[in-house]
Amino acid sequence: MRILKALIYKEFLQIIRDPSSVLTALILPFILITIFATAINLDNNTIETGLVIEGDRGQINDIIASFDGTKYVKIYRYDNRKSAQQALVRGDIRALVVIPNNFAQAFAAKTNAAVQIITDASDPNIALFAAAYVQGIISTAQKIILENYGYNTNVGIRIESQSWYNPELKSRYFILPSSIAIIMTLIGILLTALVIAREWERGTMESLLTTKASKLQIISAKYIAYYCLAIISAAFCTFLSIVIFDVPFRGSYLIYFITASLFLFPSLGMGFIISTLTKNQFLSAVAAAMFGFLPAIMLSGGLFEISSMPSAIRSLTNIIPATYFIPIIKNLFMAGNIWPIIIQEGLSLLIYGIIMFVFLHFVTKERLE
Amino acid sequence: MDSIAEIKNLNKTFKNPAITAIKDLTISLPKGKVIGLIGPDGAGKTTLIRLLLGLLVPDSGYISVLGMNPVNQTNLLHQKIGYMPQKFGLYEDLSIQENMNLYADLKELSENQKKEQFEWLLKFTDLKPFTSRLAGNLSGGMKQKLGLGCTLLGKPQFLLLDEPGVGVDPISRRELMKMVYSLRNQGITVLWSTSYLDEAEKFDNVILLNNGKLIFNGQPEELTQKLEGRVFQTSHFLESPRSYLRAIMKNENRLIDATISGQNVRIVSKDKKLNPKLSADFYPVKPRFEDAVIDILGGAPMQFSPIAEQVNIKDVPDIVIKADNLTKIYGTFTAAKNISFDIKRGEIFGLLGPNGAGKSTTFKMLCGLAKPSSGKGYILNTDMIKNPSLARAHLGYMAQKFSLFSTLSVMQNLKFFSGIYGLQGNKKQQRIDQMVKIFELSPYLKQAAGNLPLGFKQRLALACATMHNPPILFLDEPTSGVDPLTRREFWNHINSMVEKGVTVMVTTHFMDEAEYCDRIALIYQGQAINVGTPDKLKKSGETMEDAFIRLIEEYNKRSK
Repeated sequence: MRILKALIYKEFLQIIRDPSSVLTALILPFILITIFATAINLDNNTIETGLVIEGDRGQINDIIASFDGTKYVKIYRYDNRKSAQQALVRGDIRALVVIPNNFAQAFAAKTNAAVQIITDASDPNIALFAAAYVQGIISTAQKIILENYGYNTNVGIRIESQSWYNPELKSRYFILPSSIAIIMTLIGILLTALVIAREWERGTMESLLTTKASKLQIISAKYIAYYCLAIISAAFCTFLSIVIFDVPFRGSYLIYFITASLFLFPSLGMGFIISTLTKNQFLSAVAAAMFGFLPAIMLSGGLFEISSMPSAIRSLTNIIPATYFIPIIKNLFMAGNIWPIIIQEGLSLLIYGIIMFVFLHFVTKERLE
Repeated sequence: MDSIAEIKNLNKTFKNPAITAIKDLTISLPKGKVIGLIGPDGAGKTTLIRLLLGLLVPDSGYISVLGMNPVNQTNLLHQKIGYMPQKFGLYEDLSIQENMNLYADLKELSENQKKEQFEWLLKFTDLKPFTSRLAGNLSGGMKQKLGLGCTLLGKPQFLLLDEPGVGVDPISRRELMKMVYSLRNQGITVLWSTSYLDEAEKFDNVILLNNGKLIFNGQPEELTQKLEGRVFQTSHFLESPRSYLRAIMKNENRLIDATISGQNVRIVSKDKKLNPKLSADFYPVKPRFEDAVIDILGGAPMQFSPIAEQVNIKDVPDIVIKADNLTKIYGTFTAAKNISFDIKRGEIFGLLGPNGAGKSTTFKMLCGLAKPSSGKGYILNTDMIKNPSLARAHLGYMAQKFSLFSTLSVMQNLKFFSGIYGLQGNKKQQRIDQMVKIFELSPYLKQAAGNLPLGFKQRLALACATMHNPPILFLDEPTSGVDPLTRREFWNHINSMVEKGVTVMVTTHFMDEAEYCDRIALIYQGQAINVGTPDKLKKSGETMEDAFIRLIEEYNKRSK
């Protein structure tokens, strides 16, 4: 116990005195959260929008005029719905506005005049914004019509919005919680990937091995110290998301704390294993990015839907700890304590963590070979 | 005599890369002695220490340390021994006190023991005033003492020190040796590994390894005695020691070694009889341990290098290199301060000094790799700051650790370096062929440079650096970690080039190599505190190391 305490104390001193660990644990998350939170803000981007007008034009010219009057939307005209839809499929345009045949009649008759908006929702952020822009522009057009012609078209125009490829539109509220999980992976793996390699490089591991400290004690001390650092980092990310970026949190903080701890268990383990196997800080930093961070971004389901991946890749996502944590954290933020998910995924994390710990214990040698 | 460790028929090989580190070793380490474990890099010194500690498991053979088997009784054994690995095994971001606390806790000392031993160790190591300083901010000598201090916690009976002298100045090294002897007098056995043969004479006992094999085990005097009456030195200063050296190498076949020592030549004969023609010029001197090692290893190569035939130096001014008040400041740290010297055509100029004294900084400024904060450097009258690439075209540069492309083959390295030096077509091929012939590289052409034996790496590096026939050679610690025979061979090449007019600037840690230089600048705390010929720096009867230490101590006194 005394040896363990001495080792933990040593790890804490090293963390505090090493500016790079504080940088990785606090500054990096701040930058990443800010990027994730603002990257979906596309206000300055132009959205290519297709426009199909079926039938006669009438007041529609005014609507078109308002489209052209904005720098956010670029209009491409198509003669018919079919060619426009093909352009959407090809990705030439991100959104499509269809003004149907009967629009002018319905408009004149002050019945339901429908405008259809179809968005490419495979990129939910752009789809969301495209729809919002087009709706906003139509409202402006309505105002212009009201002023110039004395029609109140508020009653008359009904906007039917339809999203393709990803019917349940995701908002930024979904992205920030996932990004917390990704950042925790980064912190957990990157910080820890360096520390054991550093002991080897500086020759201190050799000294430790000739003292009474056992490998279980050496490993445990590192787990405990870096768990504390990573959980502080996670709390900081959560604070930023909730307070600065107004993401609602609907679950229990206690459950959040417990599941986050369960999630760190395998992540830290993965970093330590990389570090032990490479024994070289440079190699392990690269390995941590390749095997830890990048898969967590691309394959964990945080940013890209797992269900839309090919099945071979889908099974690959199972070996990424973040895959199990992201459903929990998403639900804690968006929905609340969904027990079946918490229990199932939490159990997976625990088992995964134990496997990692045992594996680390196995690869850590008390000798130099 | 009682022994502290017994080793019988020990073998140890490594797989990747395939190396036989220890080959059929049988020795017994006497108790209560300071034992030197000596040999060039790759001789098996570290492997042997790790085998004794149980950090490595032998392939076959028997080891017993303090009556215990290091493999089965590792933990028990570790309580009785102290181990200081290379680089001292300290946590650089922890203070002296915190490092000592950590190791005391890891050795589970009681509060009383802790208090008592801390007090004794801080006094013993003179570190008491610095306990709150971070280990990373200590000088090499202080780190070494702290490393030793942490090792001594728990009062071990057997101390194993792996290259404690590396990167430490000779004064600190002497101090450490004194401390180690006072420990021996308290009954502690010490095993001290080093690649410096000149340290050997200070140990009670010496184990000499080469390529994993035992060359010698016993008192150093035993070995040196065999050479009594066989070592001679010229009785008067020579006009040109280098041409004299070449002459006797060519004409004498009863010599096993001949080296330059300042303005003298020092020779080792096969037996006590000396050619009567020589006996007028030479008088017998005391043999050194290194002479004996060269004798055991079969003698140094005694022909002059064919490389000289290829050297062709034209249009070189008398002053080839000029340093004019070179100063380099990094932040608040002055790495080099007002360093000035001139190097003449065909001179070997040595930069000598402890690690971190400013040798490499001076070096880098003169070859344009670092920009001086103030002052000027000239290579062949070309301003190094204004026109570094032009000046650099005249240089051959051999960096520390040889800086070869370790994954490229020998031939690919040769081709690459000839390419960057601007050689093309027929001329390039011709030059590469010459280099392969001179340095006898043909059996290795297809092998990756990283897997070459150290001596061949050194040859290849020199071949690459001289590919474009440069009038100036910069050599940064060209021989560190290399065995004495290979070092002799290396200096043969250098000497023959210098005779043809090549100018050499070299840094070295080896004191005997310092004596191969025509002149030396002693660099200490960023300043050139002495510049002169080796014979001028030495007082009569002094070795180079004595002179080195005396000059630094004098300087320290002056600056106080």
